[in-house]
Amino acid sequence: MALIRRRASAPRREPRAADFEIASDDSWLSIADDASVPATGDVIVSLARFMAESEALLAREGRLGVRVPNDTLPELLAPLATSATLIALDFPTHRDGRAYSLARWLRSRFGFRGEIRATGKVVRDQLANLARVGFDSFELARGSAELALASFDDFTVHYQATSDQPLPLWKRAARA
Amino acid sequence: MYRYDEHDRRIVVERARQFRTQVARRISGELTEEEFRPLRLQNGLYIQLHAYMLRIAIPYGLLSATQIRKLADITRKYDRGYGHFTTRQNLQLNWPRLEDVPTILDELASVEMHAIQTSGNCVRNVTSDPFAGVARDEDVDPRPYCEILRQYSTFHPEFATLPRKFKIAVTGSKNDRAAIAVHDIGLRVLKNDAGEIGFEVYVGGGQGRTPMIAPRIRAFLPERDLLAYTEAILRIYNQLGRRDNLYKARIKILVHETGVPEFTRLVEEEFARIASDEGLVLTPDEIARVTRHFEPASYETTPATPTLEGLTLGKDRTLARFVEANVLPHRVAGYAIVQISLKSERLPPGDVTHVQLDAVADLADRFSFGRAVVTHRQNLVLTDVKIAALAALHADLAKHDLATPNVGRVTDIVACPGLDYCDLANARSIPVAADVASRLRTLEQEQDLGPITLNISGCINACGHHHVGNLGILGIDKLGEEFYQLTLGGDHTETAAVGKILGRAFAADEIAGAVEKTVRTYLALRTSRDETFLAVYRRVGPTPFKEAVYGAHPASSQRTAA
Amino acid sequence: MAATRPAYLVSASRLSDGAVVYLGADRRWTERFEQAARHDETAPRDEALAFAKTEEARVCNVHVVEIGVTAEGGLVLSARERFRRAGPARVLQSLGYGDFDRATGSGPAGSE
Ligand code: SF4
Repeated sequence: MALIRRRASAPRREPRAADFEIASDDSWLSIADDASVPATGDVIVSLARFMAESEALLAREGRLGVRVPNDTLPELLAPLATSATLIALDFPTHRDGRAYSLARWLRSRFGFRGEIRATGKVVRDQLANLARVGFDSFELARGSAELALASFDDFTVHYQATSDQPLPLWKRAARA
Repeated sequence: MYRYDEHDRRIVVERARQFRTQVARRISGELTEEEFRPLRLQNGLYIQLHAYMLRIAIPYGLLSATQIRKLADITRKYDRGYGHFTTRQNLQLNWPRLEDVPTILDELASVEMHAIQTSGNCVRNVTSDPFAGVARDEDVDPRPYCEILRQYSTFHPEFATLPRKFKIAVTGSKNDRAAIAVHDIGLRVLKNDAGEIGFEVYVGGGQGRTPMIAPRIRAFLPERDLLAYTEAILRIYNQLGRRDNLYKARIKILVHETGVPEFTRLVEEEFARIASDEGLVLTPDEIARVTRHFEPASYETTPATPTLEGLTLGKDRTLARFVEANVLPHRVAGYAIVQISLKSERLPPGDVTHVQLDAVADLADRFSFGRAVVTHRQNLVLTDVKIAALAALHADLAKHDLATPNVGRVTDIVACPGLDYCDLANARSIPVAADVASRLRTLEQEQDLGPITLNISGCINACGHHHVGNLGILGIDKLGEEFYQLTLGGDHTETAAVGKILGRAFAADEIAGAVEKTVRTYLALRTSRDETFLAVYRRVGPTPFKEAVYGAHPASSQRTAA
Repeated sequence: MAATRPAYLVSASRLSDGAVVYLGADRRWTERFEQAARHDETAPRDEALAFAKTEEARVCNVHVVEIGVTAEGGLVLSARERFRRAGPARVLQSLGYGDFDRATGSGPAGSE
């Protein structure tokens, strides 16, 4: 499994391959619900655990990430937006698109500015769409990470306004 | 019609290029079929019973002569020389080879066409009134809004993997020729008392296994809010639509299970949040820009003779019958709307050969400003024909078997591809259409049967829209044999209704007879020629039809299968 | 309908053109129904299916077809399997494209 992420220096704009990289130094550790949380370091815990132990989790040293199931009610995202540094949205299959709308909500409705990570069955051909709705990093389930990176350049024009582009094409470009 | 600019063009070119690499990756083994399948489906490429099938998008059914010629050429070069128009105003190729498909997409891109989102769980081709722009009863031309929605929904990143497919239809007339009541979103564009343009919004209609007539959730949505409201509906559906059961995944089930008031509340709440987003508010400038593409043709003032009435009374009886059945009055004096029936004796419903396509392109150029429209009843329309030219046009149509005078009549049968082509089918549709038509053709010519819609689907997916045919035929499987259910009373117009099953299903050699009995019963029951089949059915109910078709003791019928 | 017992074939669509193919006893794909390997038991059927699924370079849409076998050894096929077996020629013939000439568009379907 490879992790692809937006470069720290990249502007938030419509995705281009140059804005992303294959990460070799991911600091985040995903903690299972029955495992104990280490005292330091960046950890990702489940939403249930976050809700049960939020005080302790926020008091510890190291950054906090939260895994959010894709059927989570959007209202539950509000407290995360202000306290988590990373939110991992899961794809049980690549055909289940609920997390796309959660990402949109996180960005536009709750103003989340941290990292949104796609986990689970994530495949190359959905990366650009994921980036456009607000994802920054992607755990690629299979296939070549280099080719996956290149796929950000498959399309150079997009009609819609999305998380990375506040204006639709017709407000950005002179059109006949 | 809408002409691409460099941006639109770049999108379809890049799409074709992307698919070329995806096909190459599949052939090289880099992609598994499981991974490739959604990618090919997003490009309209299915596996059918005997071959691949490529579904080409025809946005709101509108085609230029150049595009029609290209389609003819594609069927000649990469298929078997014919294609099939569907009830969703698209064109299907029945026999493409996988390695040719990227090239076909290149060819389509060269004439501003594509196969984007003609399959998969995304927003599909937006459909509309085939008479848009020329109908006398039109309040507002729906096509600019269709095009705005086409662009909005093309590769919308958030809505590429919805719970299920999503179909939008837009009409601009009170007389609904776009069947908006049976779409996921149905829109009727109209003007309010203050003269402002807006939409009635219907959500959650559909056919298939659970046919439903869409409830109206908004009486007047200002036009600037079209995209925000659509996005709110799509987002609520994406989040809450069922994904546990394929048959319950359409938005109609969500609307039904949530209840219309609660569903509406959710949509309105989301809409309120995003309604003023700069990314979504439609500006008068943008609406005007797109509308300019659909500006009316430069009509000539033509002499008042002949009139349509005059032609129907004229000496040329063949022409008179054609005008009566297939030609409609136009918004502009001296012009007419000409419907081309694709329901001749020779070909399956909705099929056209490359020769016919070329002929239609030429006739569109000569007689109708170089445009033609595909209808959801699988016919074509030349929208702007001078009445003075009707006789000449008719003569040329007849040379290509395109002058069958039966539009809206009982032999103008809508039929899905069925078990001759379709991998999901239970039974064949096309031979049933042929049987029924051959039984009723003479009757129709002798007696004026008036408007009757007859629709056939080869399985419950209802691509032939059998639920909303006045007569509907549904193919079912009984122990490996083809059987057919007959439904009566369906209606796809502004008085939409889902037809009711009449009784036990019929074997393949019985169904045409049952249809004939039904039609003869109507003939016996109607009080005048003006009382349509649907009116009679609504007046008398199913009983007289049941008795006629099954006899007095339907249960004792011998051919009843287990 | 006569009483039958089930038997199984492994079928698929050819990757290049989507044509119906069957897995033969020699583990090669054939367009001919008669040459399809027929399995009476589920174990060899599943083994054949597992092999077929490794054949993605040649085929897609791999699946098992169940047919009925009568006491006399006759085969009972569903409508769908009868049509798949009969192939494109039957479709074209029965729908009016039998002697349709694609190059000229002549023949019954497209004649002038
Ligand atoms: S209704 Fe059924 S048989 Fe007909 S085209 Fe649709 S899926 Fe195929």
